[in-house]
Amino acid sequence: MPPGLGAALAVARARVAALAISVTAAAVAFQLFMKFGAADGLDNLDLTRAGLILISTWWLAWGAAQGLMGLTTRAAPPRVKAPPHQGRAIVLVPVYNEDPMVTFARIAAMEASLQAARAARGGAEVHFAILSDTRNTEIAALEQIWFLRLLAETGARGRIFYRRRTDNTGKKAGNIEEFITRSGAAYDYAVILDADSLMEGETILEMLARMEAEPRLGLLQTLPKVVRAQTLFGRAMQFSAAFYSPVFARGLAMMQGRSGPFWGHNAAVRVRAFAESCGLPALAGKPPFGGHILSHDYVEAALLARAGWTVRLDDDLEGSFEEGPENIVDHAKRDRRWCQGNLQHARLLAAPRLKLWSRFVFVQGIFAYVAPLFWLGFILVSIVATVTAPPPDYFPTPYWPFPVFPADETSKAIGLFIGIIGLLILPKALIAFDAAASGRAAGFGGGLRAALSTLSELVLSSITAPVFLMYQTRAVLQVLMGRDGGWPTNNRGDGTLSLRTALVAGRWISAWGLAGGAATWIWAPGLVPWLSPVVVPMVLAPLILWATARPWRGRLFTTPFDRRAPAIVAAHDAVLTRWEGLAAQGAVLPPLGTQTAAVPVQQEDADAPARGISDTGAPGPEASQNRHDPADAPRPAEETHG
Amino acid sequence: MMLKQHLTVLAEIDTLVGDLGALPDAPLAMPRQRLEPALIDRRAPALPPVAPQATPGAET
Repeated sequence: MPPGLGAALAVARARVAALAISVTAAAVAFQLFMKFGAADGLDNLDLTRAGLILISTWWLAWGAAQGLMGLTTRAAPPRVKAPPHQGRAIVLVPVYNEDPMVTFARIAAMEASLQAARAARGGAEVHFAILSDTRNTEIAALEQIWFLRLLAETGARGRIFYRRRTDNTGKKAGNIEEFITRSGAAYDYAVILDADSLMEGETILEMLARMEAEPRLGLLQTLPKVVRAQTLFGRAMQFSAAFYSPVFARGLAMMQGRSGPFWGHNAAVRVRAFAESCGLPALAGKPPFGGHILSHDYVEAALLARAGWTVRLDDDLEGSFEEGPENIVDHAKRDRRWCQGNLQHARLLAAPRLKLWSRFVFVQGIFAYVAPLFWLGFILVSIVATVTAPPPDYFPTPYWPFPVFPADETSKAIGLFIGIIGLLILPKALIAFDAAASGRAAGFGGGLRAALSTLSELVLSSITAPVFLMYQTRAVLQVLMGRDGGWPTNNRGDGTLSLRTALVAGRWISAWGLAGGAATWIWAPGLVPWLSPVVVPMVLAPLILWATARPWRGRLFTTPFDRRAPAIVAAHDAVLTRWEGLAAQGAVLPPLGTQTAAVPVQQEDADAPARGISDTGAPGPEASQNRHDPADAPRPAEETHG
Repeated sequence: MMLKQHLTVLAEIDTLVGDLGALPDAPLAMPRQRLEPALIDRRAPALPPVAPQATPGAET
């Protein structure tokens, strides 16, 4: 068998299996509903509902199939260990109105981790570039001050760079592109992060080694785990990301072949491949469907694959972290942006020479947002069908004295309901079972606690699902009506919501829930029990938003990171604690001109208040006394590169 | 006076960061990719009708 053919066959088998499972499930659901609908005679509303059930069940079953396939294998590193990389590499950290103290402390931690990892396993130097798109001038001034602090502490002059764009054309994709067109030829590999990303130095070096070992590998994506969650919602998301996501990602990895995903961060790219393949055009017309491509990562992955580069998700790589939204409101805000970006991909479905799988990935992304509309449509059509249903005709045959009762097909409706719920529950239940059997559950507090966490997560996601349904529906409708969501700054606070904020954010959902509930009660009372799992959470939306944003101290949703924080997270905490102390003393700004070597922090602290910056980040009045002699200025970084 | 000092420091920091943070000058072209299918330009004038060709050998 020629090399590569075996892998291609395995990918084809996985895709066919997932397609067969999902299509079969959808066909069974369709048939069950048709039998249920035929009990009192099929009409157009029945056919519409059956069609909606067909599509919605296929989508659910497709996700379930991915999870089931992920359970059939285990993530494993490549058979041959790649030698340390020798190419030139840089870690890119795009920032946009972020807290520079927190963000730059991550860079300090990663820089130290990289130095330690290089000392242990070798490999060429790795640089960092902070690519600021910050528009807020106060935050921009703070970025400069914290950059000097970062250089002073790491002694990384010529290895850590900072630049701020004067305009942020193209948003994050434009930010990365600007770096490549200005400095891309200086590097072979770039590790692209988000402002909240954290990666172990060892993981970065392993990614670079794998890139170098496979010259056709254009992009290598890791599976970031969520850390630092504090609220109930955040903890449940963190648990899901740590417990379920690796299995679903394994299933995805089996199906994607060489056209893997790019999620925009915690990934390494081959700079030359990225430059020659991923120059994104602005689409004709205005946002939301025209203009700059918002969800650029999916498109970049598709373009790399189109150009013949391999795009791969290596789910065996640990040490890759991010932070997630801490409440449903922040999640919905992020989702609004993703929704617009994914729907915009409809413009690209017919783009020339894309791989079939890349087109399918676009369809999946679009489906992720329009699928809730199918469920909502099913509910609305069901209410209308109940209202307009003709009364049963017990004497259909003229002059026949005995009544004919219509066949009771309720059991089929119940069967269908159980089947659909099963598609939601089964993969997660099997993952919990597999984790208990394989010992993986130990990191999640043991088999019993992992099972209870799974059960709680299922209950919580059932309660919050109608709220998400409404937010997603609103987002889709806004995009379809041509409303651009813009580029809001991410909230990275403690995530709690006041009752008032929750009320303002969720009252429109309550209103719709009350209206829908009342309409059902009046016109279709028989549907009330069926619709109450949707209507009740809608009515209680503000309470749900508030309660899920409360700090969570319970023992459920334990993850391996609770027992022992990952080294890079602990290192970030340590830097951050020290820097918070400096900020409290107004001692952030190091003596100007000392950024060429590491400055011992204790020495800095002794007379810091005299020359530091104030709590608000403004430079202290004495700072100007630290004259920076241009003659002593370190050489510009350009001189160190070709 | 305080304001002037502040502005002086900020300008100094700006210069220093500009020096120390400057990225390598190593441009790399990033050509724009074609993503949307070519559209038929409906504004283009229709081609003139092709005159019927005389069949070789057919004498009128």
